[in-house]
Amino acid sequence: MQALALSYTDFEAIGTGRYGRVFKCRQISDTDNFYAVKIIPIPKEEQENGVPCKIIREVSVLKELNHINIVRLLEVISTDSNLFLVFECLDNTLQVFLKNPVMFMYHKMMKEFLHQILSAVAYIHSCKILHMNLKPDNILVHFRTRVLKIADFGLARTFEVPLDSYSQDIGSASYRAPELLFGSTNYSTANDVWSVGCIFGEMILHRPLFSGGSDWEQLDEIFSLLGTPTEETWPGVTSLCGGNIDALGPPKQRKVSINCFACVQIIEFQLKKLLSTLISEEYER
Amino acid sequence: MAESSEREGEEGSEWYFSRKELEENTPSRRDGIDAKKENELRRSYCGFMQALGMRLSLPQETIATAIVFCHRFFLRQSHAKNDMLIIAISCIHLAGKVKETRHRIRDVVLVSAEMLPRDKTSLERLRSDKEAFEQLRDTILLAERIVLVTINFDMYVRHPYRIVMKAIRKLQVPKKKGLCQVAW
Repeated sequence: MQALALSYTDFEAIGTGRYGRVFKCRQISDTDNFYAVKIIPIPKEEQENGVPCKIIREVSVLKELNHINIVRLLEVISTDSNLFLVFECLDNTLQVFLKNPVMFMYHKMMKEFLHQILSAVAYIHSCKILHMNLKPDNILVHFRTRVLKIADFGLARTFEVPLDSYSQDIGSASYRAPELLFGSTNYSTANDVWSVGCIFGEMILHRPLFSGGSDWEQLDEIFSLLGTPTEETWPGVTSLCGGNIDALGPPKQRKVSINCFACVQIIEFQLKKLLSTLISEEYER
Repeated sequence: MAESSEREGEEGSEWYFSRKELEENTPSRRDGIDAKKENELRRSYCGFMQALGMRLSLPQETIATAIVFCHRFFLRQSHAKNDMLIIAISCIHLAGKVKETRHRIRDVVLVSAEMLPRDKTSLERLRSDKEAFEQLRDTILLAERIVLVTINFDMYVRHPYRIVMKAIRKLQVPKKKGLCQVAW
């Protein structure tokens, strides 16, 4: 903390992430702006290997990305036992918005939000990077200007880097694509697009599209909505579930059609269609 | 350095330097190392890193990344004040982490110890003496942190290799001409 206190002041805890705590603070030399500092402790057992791999990966990804809808990494401070990442600070997460349906009264806003998420994801993918952990908690919102920024690249990776099985834990189950729930390690941009579809569904329904429990419960829930996949609707699904498609239980009928979300009156036709597209379970999304 | 950091914006652009800057205005030059000598040093650490990387059986892309880190480092720091070989070793270690090439710090330390110019006895000592081993390891890790701060955590490197390979395939150059190998 001392290294940080040299240039920042007024610390206020705002959250605890997967890898460390997050504080809000001001710069000593310029007290007008707030910053968010993510403190990543370097575990003792990893200190002998230097700065851990996954932190290096997160920092290098953040350094590379430069987009209005992606949170900007401003400074990195490193000490023996900690790494401090200084970000621009936004006041809310999308999660907060989702918990207060009143804020979504205008579906114009929903469209604006979705557009920003999609353009950020398109940009990330164009840089050959997968985010792998898109969820409302990781999308920051500037309340006044309604600007969205995607954050937390702790699980992000580049296409080219070969993947190790150790990094199995990818994102929260509710937003995880079915092929990953099946245990596939063939990560692709489709995984992120699926997550965006789930977030969009949640914006409409004000509750998670799939509530998710264990991987199998989650799959079951997805198939209740989309119908149990067959080799026809999803080529390759048989090999994904280990050659035994019967393990998915009795086949369910597809419910998602444009009418499926008819209960939500405020959604326009095109939006419904987009939602069905985003969460359609075909591999080639 | 001040000029270079002002030119940020376009990704990676702060690492583009003109020939004049490279020849006349590097930190090493200010410490009285002339351009010819610095070129020699550059060649020397590249050769060292290539050999070290190959002995650790790292992929070529990892080695190339490490070499770029090292170039970046010496555009901001002087050869006169830093042990070139220690910096080179830590760049290799760092590149391995960026590219997720699995390797152990132990191997890096032992293999590089063999390659560092020392007399035989000290190498024997390193294998058996835990303290000497840890000392070298800690030096490399310290250097890693210095490298990270110096290159400002800019670890993104775009290599031409894949593009070249693609172009060659597209142009359907016959394999036996060895163009791939030359281009690489």
